[in-house]
Amino acid sequence: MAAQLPLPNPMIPSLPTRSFNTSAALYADKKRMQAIMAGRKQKAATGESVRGGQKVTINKKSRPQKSGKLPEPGERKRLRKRIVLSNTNALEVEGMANLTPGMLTDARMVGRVVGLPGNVVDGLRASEAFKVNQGWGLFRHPSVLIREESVRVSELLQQADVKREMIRLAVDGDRGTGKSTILLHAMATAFLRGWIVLHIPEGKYSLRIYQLLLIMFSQLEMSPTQLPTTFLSHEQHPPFTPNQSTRLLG
Amino acid sequence: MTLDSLSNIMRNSEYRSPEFELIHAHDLALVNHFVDYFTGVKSLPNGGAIIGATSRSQAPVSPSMELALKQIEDRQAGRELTKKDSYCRSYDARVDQAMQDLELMRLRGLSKVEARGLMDYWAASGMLRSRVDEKTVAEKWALAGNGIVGEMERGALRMRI
Repeated sequence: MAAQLPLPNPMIPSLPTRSFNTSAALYADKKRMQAIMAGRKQKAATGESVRGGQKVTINKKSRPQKSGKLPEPGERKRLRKRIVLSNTNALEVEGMANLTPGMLTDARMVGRVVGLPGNVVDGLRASEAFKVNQGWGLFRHPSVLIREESVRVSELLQQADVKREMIRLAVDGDRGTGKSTILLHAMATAFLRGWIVLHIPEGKYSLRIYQLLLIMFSQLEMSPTQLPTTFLSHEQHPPFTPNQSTRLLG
Repeated sequence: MTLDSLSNIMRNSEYRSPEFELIHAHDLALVNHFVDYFTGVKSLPNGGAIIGATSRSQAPVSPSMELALKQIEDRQAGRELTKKDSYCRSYDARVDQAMQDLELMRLRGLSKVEARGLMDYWAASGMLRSRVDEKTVAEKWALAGNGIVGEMERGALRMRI
């Protein structure tokens, strides 16, 4: 026999019972339920919070528009690569002489800083001898320190001038030891003596092939030293194929 | 004729021919022009100077060029020539041959006299604010790894403490 709960005896008074769940009683009361549902629907339709309380809406912000004038093409590159050689905030160094041909091979000049004359600076600037990361823009006039090595280079150049021979020199050293500056000194010596200077400023960029020049070169069979001055459009010429005799123009 | 960053020249370029063979940097016209004179294949009739400088910052390493420079230094010092590393595969035969007969100038730090002269100039220009005497010159010289100019400039001019 299954155990059975004792049935409530109507004769014994008992405490009013409350269930945990009010839904049952609510669903039983149909009219009240219908009124509540209607009220909820109304609120949902107007956008009010069904449970009551404040409603917060977050509007999607539009992306910030870029405003302001863009720099012209080539402007940023120009600013990046510009070389400033003079700074008027720096003091004028009295008694600093300009470099002359006589000073170049004078060993007593070692340890002195000399200024570069105007025409030499023009030539150096045109040959791209000044580098952006070097501190030229800190001082009033572009000037170089004369080192033992720079005297030696000047002597070699003088020897080449006198004997009409060709000097072939490689300059090596750790980072920051002044290799590019020695090149600059050599170029300055050459300008002072009236030599022709050809400088290839960055070996990396001399390796670029200019496609238009290649095509022209192959069509017209020019020698490498005759650089064409006009650019022809790419569409007028068939694709370039190098053969044994052509040299790629870099 | 001068060239900066020699190790960019002494290797294969990034380009390939239509047959997909690597093009050596020495085959590109501008480089070829320089290298012919640098190696002595062609010569300037009235004389001149061809100077190539290496670059040590952001430059590719060319083992053949490094070896050639070491050998030139050995020859100048009268030592036995440095041998090729037998385990290195990236030697370049054309570069080996090209850089045989050159003069080498290896730059080191400045001497104290030169350093003093430079620092006097900096002080006279108003860039260097400290006194320039034996002590400060020796200090900047030593901090620059025994007088390396770039480091001296950094320590004296660019670092403003």
